[in-house]
Amino acid sequence: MSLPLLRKEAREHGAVLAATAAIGGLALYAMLGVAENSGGGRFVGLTRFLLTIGPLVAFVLANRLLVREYTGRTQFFLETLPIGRVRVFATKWLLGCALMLLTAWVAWRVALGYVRRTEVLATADAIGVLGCAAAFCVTIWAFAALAGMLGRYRYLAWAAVIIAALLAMNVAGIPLFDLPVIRLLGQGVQMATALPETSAFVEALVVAVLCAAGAAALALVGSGAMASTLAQRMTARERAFALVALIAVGTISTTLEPKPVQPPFEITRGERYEGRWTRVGVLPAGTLDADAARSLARSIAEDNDALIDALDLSAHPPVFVLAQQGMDRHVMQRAALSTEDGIVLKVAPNAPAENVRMLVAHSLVADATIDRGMKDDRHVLLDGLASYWPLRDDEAGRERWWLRAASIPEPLPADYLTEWARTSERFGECQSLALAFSVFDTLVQRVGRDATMQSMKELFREPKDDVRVLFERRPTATLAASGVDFASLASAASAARAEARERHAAELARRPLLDAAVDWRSTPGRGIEIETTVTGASRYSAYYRLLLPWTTDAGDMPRLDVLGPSAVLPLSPSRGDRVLAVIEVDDEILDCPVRLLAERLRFR
Amino acid sequence: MSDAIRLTDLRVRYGRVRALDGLSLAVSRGEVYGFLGRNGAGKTTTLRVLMGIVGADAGTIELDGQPMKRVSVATKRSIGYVSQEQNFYPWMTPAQLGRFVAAFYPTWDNDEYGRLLRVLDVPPDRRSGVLSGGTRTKLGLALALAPRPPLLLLDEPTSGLDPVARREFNDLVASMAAERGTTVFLSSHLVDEVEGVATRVGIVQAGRMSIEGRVDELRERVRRVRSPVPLEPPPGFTRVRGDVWLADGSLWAAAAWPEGTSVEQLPLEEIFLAFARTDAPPGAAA
Repeated sequence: MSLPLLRKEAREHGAVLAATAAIGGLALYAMLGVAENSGGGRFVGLTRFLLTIGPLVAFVLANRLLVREYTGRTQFFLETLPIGRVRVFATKWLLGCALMLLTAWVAWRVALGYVRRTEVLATADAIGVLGCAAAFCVTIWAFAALAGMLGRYRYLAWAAVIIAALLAMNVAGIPLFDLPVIRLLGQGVQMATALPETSAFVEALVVAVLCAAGAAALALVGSGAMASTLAQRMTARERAFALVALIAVGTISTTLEPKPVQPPFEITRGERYEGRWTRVGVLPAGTLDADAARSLARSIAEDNDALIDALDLSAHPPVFVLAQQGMDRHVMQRAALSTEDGIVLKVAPNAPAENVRMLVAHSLVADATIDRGMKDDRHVLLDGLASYWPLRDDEAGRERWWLRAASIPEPLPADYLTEWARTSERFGECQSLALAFSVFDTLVQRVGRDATMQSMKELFREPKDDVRVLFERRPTATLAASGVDFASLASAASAARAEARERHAAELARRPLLDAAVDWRSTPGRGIEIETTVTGASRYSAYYRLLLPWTTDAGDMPRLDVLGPSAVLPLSPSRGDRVLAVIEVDDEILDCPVRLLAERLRFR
Repeated sequence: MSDAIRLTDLRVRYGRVRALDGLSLAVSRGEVYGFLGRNGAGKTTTLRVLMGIVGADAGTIELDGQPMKRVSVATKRSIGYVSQEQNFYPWMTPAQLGRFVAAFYPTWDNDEYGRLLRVLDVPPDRRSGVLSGGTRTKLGLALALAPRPPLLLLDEPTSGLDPVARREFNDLVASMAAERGTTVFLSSHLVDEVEGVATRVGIVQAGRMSIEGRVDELRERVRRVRSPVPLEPPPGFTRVRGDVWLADGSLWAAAAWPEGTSVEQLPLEEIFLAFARTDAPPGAAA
């Protein structure tokens, strides 16, 4: 700090700052009065003051202390004096910061006096509010100083922040007091009942430090040339661009529909079960009566509670299963809701309960890992865990899935475990899930359930939701810690499937021999036609999807149910297009649809 | 005795622009040094380096025998500086400016400041924003001299002054240098002004020193040679530009010229014009 500089600032800006203080005082008086009459919380008036007048004070201070020195070119005079550039900047920044803190303290003190007119509130109980107000003011000042150092672009910086906040509120539906930094003045502070989470302070601190560093860099880098250049007036072209940009953003933001704020998903009827961690609701329909629904709810809750404990997950989402008549029993749909709504599934009343439980387990882990559990190099283990978990104590159930796994023709390519998207596309949902089950059950048999779950806990831990996720351990390294690698696991699972094939030879022999083909032809006037043919089955399902250049996973595909041996797909691709065509039949022995063919066609 | 200023192979770049490209010079104590150069030759950058406002990318700076990478705040206390533009706080009067600046200089002499304001005819109680350009420059000189600095840096201070004010300004600078033994480093492109004040001059061109020496010495060494027959410079002579040649003074006297050849001494302005052109040979410093 430099005392002569402080005295100069006081003389130069004293009158303006006094006027600002007077206006701020009147505004504070008015806001406290309005808040008191409207019966708001204890410090509602204070937070309103800080949110509205606080940024204005910061803006005025930044303009007077920083911007004026550059636009008036008087910093060139300061540079000729024996005072360092760092000291000049530090003096001005700290003076602004101190004045903002003074604003926060005065406003808090006056607001506390207002509160004490009607109730007894100890200073110690309100000191947290002062801390929040101070942190808010410092952060706002740090931003104002950075914007000030941007010189002629400072208005744009402020406009960008205000527009971003408006968009976050009106379009993304984020409440004002959930926005970063403003979180410091949330409801707990307004009522003086609770402080914001530590993360709110950390967030504000990070913003303040980054802004201060940015402002310092602008002031000091290149012998201060950057700030001097930025302080010059906008050119006509820049003014026109800024005006057009603001009008464009303003117009767009007014045309955007605000996202309605909805309460979390809930069912008002149906069977409920409250587990230790998991709340489950099942809506019965058709053959899924109340007893079956209650039993399913209980099973799901037990599965999830045990899985949450085993993997040490912190997310405990509620689960809702809605039975709906008319759906295919092998088709299950998950509603595209936010994670706060939990896991909401729509299934057929006669859907196999174990499949429903598998999908719930899969969704639980996928959500907890922010979908990183579905990365290709570990997806087989997620599918394996999800299919194994509901059957962990069900010997008969596991044997049923071994039968399905045994139906998979061998040999499989060496990398079928680590290129799971390709494997899944080839075998379809039922058999790929059985394949994953066979791998996972083999792993459990080799190293034991506890060791396996320890590896899964490591593999499916909740990832850091930032750049640190890039440094997570790779699945191969995690498995290696348990003495397992994908190659030996694939080989052991293959051997186990061969044994299962022997155990279930009689059942497998009863499966009909089916042959499927897909062909395409191009004829004048009718364009390209894709024809599917199946021999040995009276009905089958054909799935199809036009693959765009960036499509890797086909996802849910349109389905055509075919009676008879052949059908033309309702699709008119052009030359150069790619289409994924899939044929599945219901397998009575395996009790699930089996994929006969999955082919990617390219029309040349 | 060490030099007041010694710059060796100083280099400063602004992005791709080489403002100083190996500048070397030396200024003795108590000397008035005229630093001549065209606009953009590197004069202001040199002064900004000497004031510590800009750091040098390479080269060495020695002030009063002390080598330094960059001029420190402490060193700046012993330097007075008058820049081309006077960017004072417009709301401050000269008296207020004096009080403000005084706080940064332990050697500030308030009586001397008052005397300088009177001598230079600067009204002490009018806001600097309403003073004329010439008066602001004189105010700048008063502020620079009041701490009684041993080194005074002047960056084209009289470029906006009328002839009378310029004469007053230069007279004051000359008298200060004589009375106090102040070293004066005067940057300018006004040759007559420098010639009247400086004991030694240096001509900078494209960030490098072209020639340096006392004024009479330069006039001895740089002459115009006119001959009816085409002439090539004999050994020891260098063609600076056209018919302007450079050689040691003794060579000029000893040289034998073809009949009809005239050799004439040049005013400093002609020497400046010859050396300040971009094709003049660099590094011809004495």
